[in-house]
Amino acid sequence: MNNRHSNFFKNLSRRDFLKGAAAIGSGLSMSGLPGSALANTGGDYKALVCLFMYGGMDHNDTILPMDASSHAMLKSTRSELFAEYTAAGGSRSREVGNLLELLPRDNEATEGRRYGMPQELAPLHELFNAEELAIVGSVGPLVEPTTRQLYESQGVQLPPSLFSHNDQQSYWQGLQAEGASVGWGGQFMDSLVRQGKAGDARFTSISGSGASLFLAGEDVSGYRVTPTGPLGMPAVDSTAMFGTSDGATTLREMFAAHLRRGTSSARNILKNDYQNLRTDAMIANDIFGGHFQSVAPITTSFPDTSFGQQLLSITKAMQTGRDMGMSRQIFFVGAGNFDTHQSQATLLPDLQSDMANAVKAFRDAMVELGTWDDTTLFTAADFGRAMIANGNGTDHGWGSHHFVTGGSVRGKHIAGRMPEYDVNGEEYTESGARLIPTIPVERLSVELGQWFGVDNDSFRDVLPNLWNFPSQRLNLFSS
Amino acid sequence: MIKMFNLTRILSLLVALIAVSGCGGGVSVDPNNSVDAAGAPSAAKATQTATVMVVNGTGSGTVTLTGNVTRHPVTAIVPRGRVFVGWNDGREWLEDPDAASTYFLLPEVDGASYTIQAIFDAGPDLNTLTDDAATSRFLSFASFGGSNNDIRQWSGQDAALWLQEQLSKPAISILEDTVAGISTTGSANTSIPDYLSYRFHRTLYEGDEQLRTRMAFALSQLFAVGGDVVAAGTLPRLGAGWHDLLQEHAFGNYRDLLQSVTYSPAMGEWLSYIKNDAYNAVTGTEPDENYARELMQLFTIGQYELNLDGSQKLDESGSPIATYDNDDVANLARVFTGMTHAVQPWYVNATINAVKYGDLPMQIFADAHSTREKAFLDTVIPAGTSGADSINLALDALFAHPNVAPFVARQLIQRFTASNPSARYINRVSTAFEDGRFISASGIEFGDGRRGSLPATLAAILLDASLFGEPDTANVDYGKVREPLLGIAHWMRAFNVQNLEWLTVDEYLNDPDAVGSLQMAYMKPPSVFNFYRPGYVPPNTQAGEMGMTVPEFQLADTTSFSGFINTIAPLVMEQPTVGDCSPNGGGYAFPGLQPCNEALDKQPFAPDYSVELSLADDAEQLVDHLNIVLLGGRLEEDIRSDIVDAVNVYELGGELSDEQMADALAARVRIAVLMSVTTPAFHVIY
Repeated sequence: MNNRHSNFFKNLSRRDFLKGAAAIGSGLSMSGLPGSALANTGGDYKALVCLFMYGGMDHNDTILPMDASSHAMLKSTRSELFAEYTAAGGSRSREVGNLLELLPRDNEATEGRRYGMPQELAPLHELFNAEELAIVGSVGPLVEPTTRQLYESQGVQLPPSLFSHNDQQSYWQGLQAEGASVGWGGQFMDSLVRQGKAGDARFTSISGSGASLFLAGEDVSGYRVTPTGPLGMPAVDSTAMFGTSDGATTLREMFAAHLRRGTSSARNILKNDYQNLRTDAMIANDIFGGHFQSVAPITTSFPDTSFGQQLLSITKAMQTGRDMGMSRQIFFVGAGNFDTHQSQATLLPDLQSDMANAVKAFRDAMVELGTWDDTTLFTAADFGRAMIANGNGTDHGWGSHHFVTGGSVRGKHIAGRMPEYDVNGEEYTESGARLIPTIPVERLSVELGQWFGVDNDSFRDVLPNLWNFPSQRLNLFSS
Repeated sequence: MIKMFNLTRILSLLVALIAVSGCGGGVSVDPNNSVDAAGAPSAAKATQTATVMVVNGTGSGTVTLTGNVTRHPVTAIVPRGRVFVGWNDGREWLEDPDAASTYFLLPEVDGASYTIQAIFDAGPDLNTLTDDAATSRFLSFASFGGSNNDIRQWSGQDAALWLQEQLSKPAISILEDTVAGISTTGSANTSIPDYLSYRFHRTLYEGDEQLRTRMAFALSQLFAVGGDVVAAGTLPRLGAGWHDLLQEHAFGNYRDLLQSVTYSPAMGEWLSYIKNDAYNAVTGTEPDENYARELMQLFTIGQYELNLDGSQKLDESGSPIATYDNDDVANLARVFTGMTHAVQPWYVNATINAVKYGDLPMQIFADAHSTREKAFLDTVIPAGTSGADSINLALDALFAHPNVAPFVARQLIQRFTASNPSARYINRVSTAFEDGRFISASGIEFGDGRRGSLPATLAAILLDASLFGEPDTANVDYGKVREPLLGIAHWMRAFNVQNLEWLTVDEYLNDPDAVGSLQMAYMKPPSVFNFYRPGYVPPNTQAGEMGMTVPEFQLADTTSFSGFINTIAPLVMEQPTVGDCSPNGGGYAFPGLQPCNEALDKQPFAPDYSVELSLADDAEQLVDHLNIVLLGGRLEEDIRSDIVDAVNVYELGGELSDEQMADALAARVRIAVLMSVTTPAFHVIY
């Protein structure tokens, strides 16, 4: 019937079973063997993290031009927004004198123009200067090379449903519009799992937020974690609910088994799927919880923000994964409110500083754990935003600029192309001056994948449109 | 176990069929989901030359499929409803080799040709709620769940009558007493977000106008407004006004709903077109596109041209056809300019107005309304047209689009009865939407004949033949995964739960963002894209492999199952945690609610298990009863026996005092209910 499920049980080792049973019997406080006995301390390990800014981060308000002519052009299309920033005062102003200049190692992407970041992104600016962070300019969904002329004359195949939130989220994560069931991260992981290079498939793809297409593959799917490990069921596992008599203990075990019942005589597909999804979740939590208990505490503190707590969750999942002997893991964290149609000057700076502070804390934790060189985090979002403002907010765009950071990243580097700011320029659509990407998402994917150890055959399957583009290295990694 | 098809019955229906087949004029239906002839290897499908026609008047109809089978077995999947299938290889009717199965395997004979005939017996009693289980099933589709009394009352009756009665129930406004409840505390300026949520949730469990509220719940996910716009206690008029708007239009017309939604300040705030300025030639500022885009993408036509059955139209190259492009969005955005809160002048701070006038339709200021031409789709609104006229013309144009019926029908079906509705089902519901009228099998008429009638649409959804009949005879891909909130609601209604004091509601149901919560709450979607997407195909599932959409599985992850159990277990087991009862917790704040100290004297969320207690000395009887009330007869035999075993852990024999006996019976009921609400049959309705 369902092969996936029977495989699931095959993967369950005796030791896992014991741990699971312990968790079933008495909650997570009684884990099995000390996990450190199996800790992957020196072995091959890499972690790839996708940080997703739901709603679509405004790239024009993240990397700003600093040379006088470019800055003046951007300001003239967004006069109300710039005025609001200035009125907000102090660190928020988007005037040239207030920006943190980016001085990249070479001028290929910038062609000599000057760019900078708002002060809310100071932690990322610091990483850039420390050569631990790179920027990819003008990246986004593309099927084939696209120019303004080709776009406006409809002479080119375009990605589906441009400018639409859900579809572009789906495209960034799964290279298709909504309805895609696998993402490129999950597919990369599929190939590594099949080659025995990753570890237990259940714990290869870890989410700090809800369901993520990026993490889903044919064989792997997102395992969701919290800062305190898998979500326990105190209501059920504790003795408060059932009592402490012999009968109560029996009953508690029967109920635990009921929740983990792998199969039933049901024929209905949805019922069986529900049963299997829940059983997988319960057993995975039992196993993961056992290992989670034994990971060492970390001293780096994470901000109490959505990104901060999610990155804390995945940091602990990373420790847990190493304890389990995992050699590859992908992670996803996502938070929203970047859809700044209005009040951008009020809303965006806080979102930016939350993001940047969380990334910085994550980096510090990785350094503390000695895994920063084995870790790469990249940012993504639905889209960038239209250059022409709608007053004090901005509308949906297309291409954007994104960050790649990690101990192996060739930092202080701007890859791709940083745009000019002429609304009638070749780089923009006629309506709203939405940035037409020059770097396809696949170009970013492939370099991340190569670093991660994915082989070329897999790229052919997972990134079919990559070959529509001339080979262009982004050189995001040293070596 | 279902009964083997009675050959005599089939033959007699065939005879009857001949008599009615001449009446014609019925609904022509796409074959693919009625009788599906598919060989085991997919290649076999290609060798089929199937012609299927369904004529379904108010009487009987036929499904005829002719397939040329060469090498492969044919499987005919029996559609739900009073349907009988047999097949004829030219000599005789063959019997199903597996009586319990809805799959019919034809003998594999080289070159054999079969005619498969299904007799679709949509007689006048199609919608009769034949027994308690059928009644319970229907109420789980159409309401927030039925109690023992509801089931007893409606068992044996025509479901169309239930619908008719429900459609006559008026909307009940929560606006005035919500506002009064908050303002008389003198703390209107304090953020009290939980109170509104509490009011929202009570309507789900307590009201008699169950269908109306269920529809408003569905609409609240189609027009997914959330965030502080409707949750902030400081803006009760916005939130309560939006709730009232959905309740009021639940049984109205979709065009009128669009009108009210467009003028609603809650939507205006949520999708940022309140105080949306016209094009400013000096600054180059363009109107905000947010509402224009989502109005088309999410509320009316969707992104691709659709057939009436919800399938995409394809161009010559086989590609879907986009309904609009970004120029259409930019032009339509000009229509929604110049709007702001009622009463006050344009320049007044919008938030202050939201407090005072958040329930009143927005007004339009001509000075701030775009005077440019608005050209979108095939519509051109001339330059200089007023705001009100522009809105009317734009909404008329969108509403007239042929996509609206299938686009809306599919999503409403998903919210009530099927996560992955078949093309046939969508077609039937779209047709009712287009006609503005639906006539039940028993001849009861729904809808006023105006296109977009929601009563007609609802009747088509809820009286569909695919929902009636034994669950065992349903197609294996039928059913709806219930959103977790519907599960909680069903438990509350099934046992007439009392003492819904607000702190406990808040504790359990109010925080969709918290990891391990229900991950949803009424009126609290994370974005206009709702908690999940109608097109979500779940990875790593059999449904996903088959390409089925299951929106509700977008919530399923390694925390959500534990979250549901953590939420419902303490309630079922009668051990709820009461929220913070200190003055800081706000426990004394709301007049008209139970004061906190009084609430503590009573058990919050107290279920009435009296019927179940009376059955609890017989584990099998108890479980069979719950199989009806909670599970609509969908419980599998093997899980049933697990639950019976668990109930029997509490032994009743020996020397039990009266008190011990009462405790044991109560414990038996609780574990039986707990296992029932955590079995897949509770979460998947079909």
